[in-house]
Amino acid sequence: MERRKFITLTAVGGMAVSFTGISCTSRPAYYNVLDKPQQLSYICDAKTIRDIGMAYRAQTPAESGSDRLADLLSEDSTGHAVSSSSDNTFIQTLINQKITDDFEKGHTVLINGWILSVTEARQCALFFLNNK
Amino acid sequence: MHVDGRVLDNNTLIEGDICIIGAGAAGISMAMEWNNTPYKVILLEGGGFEYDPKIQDLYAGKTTGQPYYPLMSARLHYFGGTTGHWAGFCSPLDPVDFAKRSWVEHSGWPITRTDMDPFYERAHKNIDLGPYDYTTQFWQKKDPALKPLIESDAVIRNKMWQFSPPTRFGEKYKKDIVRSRNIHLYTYANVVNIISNENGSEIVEVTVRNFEGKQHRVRAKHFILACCAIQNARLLLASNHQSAKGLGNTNDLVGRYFMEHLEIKCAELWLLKSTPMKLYDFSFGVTKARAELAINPKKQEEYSMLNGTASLIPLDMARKIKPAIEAWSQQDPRKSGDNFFGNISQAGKESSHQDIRSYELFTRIEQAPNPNSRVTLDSEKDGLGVPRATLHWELTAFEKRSLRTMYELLGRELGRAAMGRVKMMEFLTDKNDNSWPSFTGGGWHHMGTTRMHDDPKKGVVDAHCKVHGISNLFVAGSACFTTAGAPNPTLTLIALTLRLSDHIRSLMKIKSETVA
Repeated sequence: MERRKFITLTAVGGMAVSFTGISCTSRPAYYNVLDKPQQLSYICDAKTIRDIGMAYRAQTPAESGSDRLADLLSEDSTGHAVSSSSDNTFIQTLINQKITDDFEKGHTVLINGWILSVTEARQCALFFLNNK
Repeated sequence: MHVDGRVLDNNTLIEGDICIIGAGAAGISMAMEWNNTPYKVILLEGGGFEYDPKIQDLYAGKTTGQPYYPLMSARLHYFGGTTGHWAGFCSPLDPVDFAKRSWVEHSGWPITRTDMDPFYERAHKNIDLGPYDYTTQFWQKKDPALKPLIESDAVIRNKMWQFSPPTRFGEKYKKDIVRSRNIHLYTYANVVNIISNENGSEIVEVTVRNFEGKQHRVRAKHFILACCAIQNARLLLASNHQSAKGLGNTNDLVGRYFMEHLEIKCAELWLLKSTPMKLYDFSFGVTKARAELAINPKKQEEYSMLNGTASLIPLDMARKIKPAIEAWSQQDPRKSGDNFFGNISQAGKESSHQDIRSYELFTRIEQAPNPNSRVTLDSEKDGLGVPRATLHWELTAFEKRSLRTMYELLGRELGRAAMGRVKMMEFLTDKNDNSWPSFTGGGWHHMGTTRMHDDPKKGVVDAHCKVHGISNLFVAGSACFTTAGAPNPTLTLIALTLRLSDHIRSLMKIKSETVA
């Protein structure tokens, strides 16, 4: 992975987005935020993120479906689903906080050598499913 | 004054108050402490003032266990010793390094960091370091651009290093010693035997030899072994005429607990954004102080891990650097040194230095004290008739688990602070894999072979570096280390030597007062 190959994934920042997440009419508007690991996107290219996602699914079969992953990602800190009308900024903030909390509490996973928060690993898995 | 041992009449008897065996960092530091005193100091150096292949060959030996550098190349055998090519990295051991740690078997020095502080401060002058202050704050006041990656030190702390120019003892102290009226330096005076009285309680004399076929005897009130950790152990073991197991070896401890610092690339740090990294930069001959990332001692206890640090090397450069174990493979230390340092220099020239956001995390971690990691005598003898040393370097699963834990904690903390992500190297990812990769190396830091402990059954020397059971034999140097800590040993071994010097001075004073 070289720096010149960095791809900015974030949709929130309005920068170049190289992903084509599936947009399903039954899914909430914020769904497209869920499969974009914002911080990881500063250092990993799309292939690396896909590979991480694939490895996470293999490592965690109980979370291998996209609906399950989306549910887990859109839970708030109390384990309840956020409102389907939540906007992207709210969801991005929520996910960033979950990532911080994961690292703080040791909710991390080791995937392909990377020490990642469980939340961002789930994002990678969702990204993999949406970008096979 | 200086005397070449080759031109003395055969079987000369040399007498003095103190006999120092070895003229490296420890031996010269000890001698200089006694300069311009009424005491006659005999300083014995096996080589001369320049590299001599025949003399260097006396350090050759076999290695078994974890692959290691050729022993002949791992130390320099002439006046000034290995300071002739050291890189000058200095930092004191941490207080936790001296403590008895329930999770580190055989840990616990009989002295504390507080005991050592005054001697560390004095040792700074010997190797031309800055003020004895290793707080990040002190260096930040001098240069506000030195910003830590993470402000909180609850998990990760910044372990500060200072850099000696590096001081070459052979150059810096030669004139003072040669001109000294009371320090008598004998070159080409290899100690081949230490002779005790009949019951082994006191050293009577040492035998020196050279390749000119001359043999001399040296008598003194106090003898100080300062030949480096491998050679000190070798000489004690080989001096077995009175004691079959060797001197100071009643409890079969001499040569055991050999420790090195594991120096090994372990992970990569990928920063999320451009970040000031001057605090962690190092430029040879320019940088006065820098930090390495280390784990807070409370976390070390919580996770039952060893102490270590991670230095940050720009990844682009690090990928061009050959592993030390590969670059330092020649028997001739000059060739190995040229290859090793030349490779690093070339990598630096060929690498980009702009907007660096990815780093190799290169570890220096203590080896746990291990009685099976040891120096023994070989059946083969060197050119002067002394059995050669064999080093069996043995690592355990504890070191590997500590490395893994260290990077898990670094990864978590840097993630928590949204600074970046850590990617571990493959050899660390499987918790059940206790093997070591081919690029595992050491820091050329030899420690522990005459370890310090109050109990003669647990250590070779006491808290004053005196060999247990022998009234006038002392060891100066890193052989006395009970545990290794993370820092390069030179600063600590000089500090210990100065402490030993003060102790011998107090013994001399007591003796002269008693006589008076």
